[in-house]
Amino acid sequence: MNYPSRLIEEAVNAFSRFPGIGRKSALRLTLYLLRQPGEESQQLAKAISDLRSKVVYCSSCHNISDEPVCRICASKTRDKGTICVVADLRDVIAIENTGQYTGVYHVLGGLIAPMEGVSPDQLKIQSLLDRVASGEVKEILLALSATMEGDTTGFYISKKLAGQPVRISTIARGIAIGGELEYADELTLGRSILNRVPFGG
Amino acid sequence: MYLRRLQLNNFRNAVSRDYVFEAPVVALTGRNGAGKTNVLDALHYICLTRSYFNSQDQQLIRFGEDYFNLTAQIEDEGEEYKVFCAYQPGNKKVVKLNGQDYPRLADHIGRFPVVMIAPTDLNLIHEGSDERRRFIDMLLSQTDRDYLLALMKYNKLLLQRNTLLKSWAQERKLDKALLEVLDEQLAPLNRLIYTRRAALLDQFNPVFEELHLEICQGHEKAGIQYESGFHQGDAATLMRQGVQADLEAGRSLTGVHRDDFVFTINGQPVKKFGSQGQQKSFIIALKLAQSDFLGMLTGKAPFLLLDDVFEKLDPQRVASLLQLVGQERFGQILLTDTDRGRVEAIFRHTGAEVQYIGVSS
Ligand SMILES: [Zn+2]
Repeated sequence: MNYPSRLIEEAVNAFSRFPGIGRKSALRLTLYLLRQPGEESQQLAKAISDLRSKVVYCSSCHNISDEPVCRICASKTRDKGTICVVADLRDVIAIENTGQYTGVYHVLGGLIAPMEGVSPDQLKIQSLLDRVASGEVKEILLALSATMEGDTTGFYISKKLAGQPVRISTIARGIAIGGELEYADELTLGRSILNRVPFGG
Repeated sequence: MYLRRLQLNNFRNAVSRDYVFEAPVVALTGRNGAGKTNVLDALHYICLTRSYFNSQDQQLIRFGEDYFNLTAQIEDEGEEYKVFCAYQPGNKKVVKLNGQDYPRLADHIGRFPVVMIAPTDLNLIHEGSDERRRFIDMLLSQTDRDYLLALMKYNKLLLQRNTLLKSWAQERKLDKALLEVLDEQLAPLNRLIYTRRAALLDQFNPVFEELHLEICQGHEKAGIQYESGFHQGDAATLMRQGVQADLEAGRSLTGVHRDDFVFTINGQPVKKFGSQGQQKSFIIALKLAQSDFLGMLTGKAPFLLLDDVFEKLDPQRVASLLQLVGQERFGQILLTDTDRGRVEAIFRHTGAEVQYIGVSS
């Protein structure tokens, strides 16, 4: 496609880097921004740059947070003996929305996929093992997507935890059509958290 | 099953085509390069969500365009179905039945069975084992959902495993626990795929043998022999024993992706001992047996796509082929030929109702 302006082309290039945004949608977003008052673009640019420069990750669970220790980890009412292991922030939001989970989390930052260049040492797996080794943890609840990557990650973690006095369980499978926890409705997800099952091959 | 209408947009070299079909036999005639084969391949794509000739969806898009889509209207047991397939690079392939997405693409495959016979099929005999595995996989995938899902998972896990092995070969870096985790998932898949392939051949070989006899009107016994490392023992054990060799090679040397299927006549490999005529008969019988077999298992006579088949066949084989077609054991037939006169002459005495569609670019 040819664009009449280099500025437009650069904006389209930038937008089309987002997942699910093709060049046509990128052009639509660009033209939308041009029709809006200038402050709108300023605010957008500031929100994006603040997001990158100010965001911190919880030193314990690696969830995105405004403080060094996130609100969930800092809470006195959450059960520190149960850790729910998830791939990313979206899963934390989905599970929190069910209101059925009272433990804490561990956010891996992705799932194991050597082909895509994601090896176990690039995820927060070692720090999970360290948390378990500290002795306070009684149960690991794996809430990973029902995909090959989710399975591999679950098996890997349970292999690494073999011999530790910790119970490994998983949310009931089959709830996550499409493989993403975030799509499961709250009621089903909530029920499957309550009815978790022992993890095994 | 009856194909009523087929629309192609930016598919291969077709800008926009719309065909209406009205007969159990449809002959698409026209010059080479006019796009006759596109129509057959479009129906193949509709049924199996992939081209028969090209596994890269990207290369099916008409030059200069950025997507293609196909729509088919199929009548099946008195119901009308609309199948829509679309592909645009960077997006997931879209397959809809009556406007609804499938939860999994795999649920569509086998819904409308299809068999293609094309000149390139002789590659099945002459090329490497992956061509023959693909043939067996396509046959099984259309009738066995578990097999298809296992195979998809297997291929993905194997790629992951080979990435690990390669990084060991290049950087001497290996996460042993991860390799074990992959192998623990691969072993039961190896077992399932191996067992189903073996069981398939037990069922398929008698059907094939009989059809081959009918085509050749001779006494040659055709068959497929299954060659697999797993004849020697259990998958998990053999995989464990092979790990060291895999690490040295930088890829997986044990597994169903190394299986082969040897085509034989009277127990002798066709590749080495078959004449050209024998090889052609072998392939045609193989494909017709595939159609018979799919029909038996799915309860529907598959679409039969014949791409340029008559031009390359001697009259005697054409005659025995048509005799089978006349028995109405096959589904709707779509065929291509450069010579309408030849097709007319061939079908003149069969009593089959033939619709002729001229295709020009
Ligand atoms: Zn935290």
